[in-house]
Order: sequence, then C-alpha cells, then structure tokens
Amino acid sequence: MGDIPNLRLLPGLVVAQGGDLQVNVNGTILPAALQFGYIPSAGDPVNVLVVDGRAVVLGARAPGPRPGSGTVSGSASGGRVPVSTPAGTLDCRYTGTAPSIGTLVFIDWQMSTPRLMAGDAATVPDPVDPAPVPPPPAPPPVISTGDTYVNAIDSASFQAGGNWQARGTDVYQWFYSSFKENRGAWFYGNGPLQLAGRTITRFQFRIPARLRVGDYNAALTAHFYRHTSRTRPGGDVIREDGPQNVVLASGQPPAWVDLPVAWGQHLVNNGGGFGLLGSPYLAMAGVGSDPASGQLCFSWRRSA
Amino acid sequence: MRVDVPGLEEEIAGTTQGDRLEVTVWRGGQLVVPDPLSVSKWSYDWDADRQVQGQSTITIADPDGSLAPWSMGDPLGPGGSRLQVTYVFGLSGTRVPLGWWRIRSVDPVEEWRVYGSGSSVIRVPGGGSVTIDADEETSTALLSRLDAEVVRASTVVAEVRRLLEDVCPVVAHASVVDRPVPSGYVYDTGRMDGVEDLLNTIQATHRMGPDGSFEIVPAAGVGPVWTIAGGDSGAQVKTIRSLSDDGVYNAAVSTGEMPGGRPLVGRSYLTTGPLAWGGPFGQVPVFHQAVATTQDGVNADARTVLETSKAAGDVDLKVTCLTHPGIQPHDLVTVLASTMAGEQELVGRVVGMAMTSADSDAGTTPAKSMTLTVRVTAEALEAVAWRVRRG
Repeated sequence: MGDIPNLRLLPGLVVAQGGDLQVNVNGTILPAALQFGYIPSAGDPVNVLVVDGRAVVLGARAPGPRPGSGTVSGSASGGRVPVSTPAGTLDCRYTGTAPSIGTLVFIDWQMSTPRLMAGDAATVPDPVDPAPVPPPPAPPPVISTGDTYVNAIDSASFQAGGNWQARGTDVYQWFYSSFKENRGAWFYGNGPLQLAGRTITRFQFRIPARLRVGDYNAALTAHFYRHTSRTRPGGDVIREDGPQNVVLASGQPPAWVDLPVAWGQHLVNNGGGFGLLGSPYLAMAGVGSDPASGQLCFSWRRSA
Repeated sequence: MRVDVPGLEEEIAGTTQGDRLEVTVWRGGQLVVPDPLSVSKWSYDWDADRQVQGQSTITIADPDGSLAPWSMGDPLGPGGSRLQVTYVFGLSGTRVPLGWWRIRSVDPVEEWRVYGSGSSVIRVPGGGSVTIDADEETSTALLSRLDAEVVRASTVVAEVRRLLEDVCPVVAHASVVDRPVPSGYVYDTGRMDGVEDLLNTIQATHRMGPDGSFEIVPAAGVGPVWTIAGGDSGAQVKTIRSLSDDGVYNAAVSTGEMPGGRPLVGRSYLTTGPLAWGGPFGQVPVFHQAVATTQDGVNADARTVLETSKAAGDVDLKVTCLTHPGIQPHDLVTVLASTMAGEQELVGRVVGMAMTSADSDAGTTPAKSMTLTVRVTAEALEAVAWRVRRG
C-alpha cells in the first residue's frame, strides 16, 4: 500500500495576466497545468485538482447542458451566428462563411464559447428496429410502509390546584372523596416527530395495567384526550381533542387500543401526548412501574 | 439540559438517597426483558468531538443464566436491541431520561456447576454476569451507510432530518439559523459524515436528547444552564485547566461561488489580543466552504466562522463536580474558578462528561461526583489572567 495522496478540488478563475492566461485560485495565481482538450478564455470558472502539491486544470465548468448539434436560426453578426438547440439559442463562432439559416451544424465545446464545426451535419434516420437497451442501474429499494413504536418518556398526574408530584409516575383520573382532582397524562418528548411527513394509517395506544384504585372491581371508563405538551408543563396540559372513551375491565391487563388516526397524524406533525380527564376515579400504572405504559404504535405509509 | 425540573439543582447539591439507574431492554418496539435490568456496575461518557458522542459500559447480574445471549437476536444480543436508560432520584422520584442506547457488543460470563445423575451429567447455572457496551443512537446512523443517496431537501435542517428519518427524530434548537444546502453537494457513503458536513455549513453541531432525538444545536453551545460553584452548598469539587493550541484559529477563509461557477473567497482576521494574526501566535487560519453566492456573503461567512470558532472555546477545563445527569454535551455551564484575584466566573461549553456507578452498603448507586470537560474561550481566560496579574 502506498501513501494516501493529498487531494483537493478547488474552484479557479481564468484571468488574463501579462499577455497570458493564468488560473486564479482564492486570490493567488496558481501554477496549474492545462490539459489538451480545453482552450481557456479569460473569465472561465474552472475546477483545479491539486494532488500532492501539483495542480491540474480539469476544464471549464459548464453552467448547463452542452448540446452536440443545433440548427442555425438567424443571420451572422459580429463573427457569431445564433444556433437553436434543446438548451436554448447559443451564440456560436464559425469558420469561413456563416452557415445559412436552417442548416444542421455540429457544435464543438473545447472552449467555453461554442464553436461550429465546418460543413453541414448529416441527418441520421431513426433505426427501424432499435436494439434492446439494458436498463440503467436501479436505485436501492425503499421501505414504503411500517410500524414505529414510540415510548412515553414520562407520565404523571396533575392535581387540579396542585402539581404533578403527588402520584409519582402513575396515571390517575378524577378523585376520591375530598381529594384534589387528578388529571393524568403521558409525555413523549420529540419521539413522534420522527415520522413527520408520513401518512399515519393506524394509531394504537398501549394502556398499562389498571391499579387497585377506586371501584377497581367494576368496569370503568377512562376518558382520553390529546394534549399539546411534549414534557410535563408547569400546570395542567392543554387538551385539544377528546374525549375518546376506553372501558377498563376489572383487573384490566395491559392492552393495545385504537385511538383516532387523526390524533396520531397530529402527534407526528406537531408533537404532544395523551391524558385523562373527568370521572370516575381510576388509575393506571405509569412508566416508573411499567416501562411500556402509554407506548404508541404508528402504522405509516411513506408519502412520496 | 435534559430536563427542566424545579428543585433539581438543590437535590443534586444536597444529600441523595436511593438514586439509581433504570435500564430497560427493547427490540423492535417490544419490551423484551419484563423488568428493568439489575445493574451492578456502569459508566457513561460523552465526548462532543466524537461522531458517536455517548458510549457506555454496564454490567448486569445474571444469576440464572437467562439473560446471557447466544445469538444476535437475543434480548441482550448486539443485533439491534436498545436500552432505554433513566436516572431516577431516590428522594424526589425525579426521572432524568438519558435516552436510547444501542447494544454494540456484549460479553457474558457464566459459571456452571456439574453433578452426575446416573450415567449423565447435569449442568446448572452457577451465576454469572453480562457486560454490555452500548452507544447512543448516532451509532445506528454511523452503521447505516448511504447507498446512492443525493440531496433532496432544500435546507440543511430539512436535509439532516431526511437523512436520519429512519434512525431517530431530529429537532433543531431555536437559535440555529437554517440555510440552503450548498449547491452541488454530493454524499459519499458516510451518513454521519454527510450530516456533520451539512451542519458545519450552518455553524451547528449535534447531540442526542433525552427522548432519543438528534438535537441540532449551535456550535457555540446552549445556555448557560448550570452554575458550578464551590463551597458548602456548591457542586464543584475540583477544577484543573489544560491549555492547548489545538483548534485555536486567528483567521477564517471562506470560499463560495457565484451562480455561474465564478469562485469567491472571503477572509476575516483576529486583529487584537494575544492571539492576533501575525503576532507571536502566528498565522493560523481555518478554512470553510460557504453556501454564500456573493462577495458580501463569503465575507460575512468568514466573520461568522471566526466568531463561532472563538465562541466554541479553546481551552479545556477538567471539572470534577457533583453528578448532574441533566447536563448534555454542548450545554454552557458557568464555572466559578478560584484565583489569586478571588472567585472568577467562566462560562464554557461542555465537551466531555463521564458518570460512573459506586458500590456501597446501599448497593450500586451513581457516584456522587462526575467529571466534565468544559471548553472556555481564550478571551474569557485572558480576562481572568489579566485580573490575576493585576491582583
């Protein structure tokens, strides 16, 4: 193995200096070797390749497509003639007498100013039975649908007129006797934003195990709302959608339930979370005791 | 700062009890080990100059041999399992998420006991442990190389978000100024190389957030978020400074090009202070590829690059302080340094951080102190040096 060469590709500008053409790179005239095949003109932007202390001019940078042929579209003026090409009308230099309007001509691009080759270009008929062309290399496959899971990074219960500290990470709804009303919620940070730009086709929420709180032997209804907070706010969350009612059975184990797809779409576009509000009094395990509490499953389709 | 919890600083400065690291194991969105791992030893460290900034080693107890992996697809196998790590304070219950960590390598240690049963030999596990190396999710971006990828979004933040859309969420800090992707920019196969090149054009850098998101932050840092003071109620234990000329520049050269390809170059020089261009420090330029398409644009870019280079800091302070799991790389912290001229305030950017566990009668808990590497500007140190000289 040899040493790794030191390579740099620099933008340069051809400038007239002392009756000669030189290459200016970052304000300095660089002793750059010109190659056959490129005729420099003052003002040409060029690419200069520097390899281990030697500079080579790679040629002028073409600002757009460079068609190989065109049709003369006007009369000559000032040593140039307009030629109509797929890339627009070009002002070309010519040899001898200017070609007449309508002539098909070859265009030479050794200079940044296009030049016409002498004589007419012969027209070539389309092949009657073209040979099959093998397809170009294919791009890598794109995964167009999938399921993405997003975990709650926090859960807690806000007590109306109080704070988020009273219930640890467990998620409570309503209150018992004279206690303050609980409004539990789950938070997801920026997690759902990973799917921004994708279309959500199904949206599921993993309800955690029910806690032995309140009338826990009866089936009770939890009222889910979509809120706007990515992390615990100072006070209560702001609820925008809901309620979506989910009946929790006696001794309800963890389970996936469907929530409106629009809620999932809103979450991936804007962030936010889910919370409980209203009666009756019930509670579910938070992320402190069930790491998958409030986990979300987004089924998505890539839009583009 | 990973979390914004009232009273957290007081809790860190005070006596802590029952703090722990909660580590759960996930694979493809499923919790694959029902309970948090029983961690017997751990260390987490971050270096802002690495592509994968956060790296960790944890050792877990595996008394019945059920966790020791045999295959890449096992829960603790390095075939795509993730650890969700949360620092939990014992007294208040405050939870500081340390984000998601990808298992990169794993070393199970097992002991077997053997006894004879008739003509056969029965083996039973005699206890063991599993040592896991896990890296932040940027390691996934590093592994998932680009295959025939081209720039498709128009601005840098949108393009970085697109490059990482199958890896993790991407969020940009409010003070990051988004700009167009440089025209004609093409990718090699390195996804993280592409991401860092793009962020470099807008003087931004990155870190992993508490929710596993890739945070784009200004290269000059975010904050200040924490004051590390000494004294009885302070968090500072020790500060050692280490001065080096590595990464210190006194000029910036920005190159760009006009729409037709005509090249542009802009330069900016540091003309004052001990590091002035042409002074004893010499002539030390940094080069930058600008997205600007005018002469004024590349001039401004050169000035910004020099300013950012200055603000990003030049001199590293090694600070030993009380463990604060909320601190992230690129957070700005205020260090109160003791000098001959009294206590001096130094604002610096966290470029390194290391937290470890400690063993005690209470079992495995986070060590009470951690080390931070705080990069401060040469200018700030000059001001301190001036006051010290003056007395």
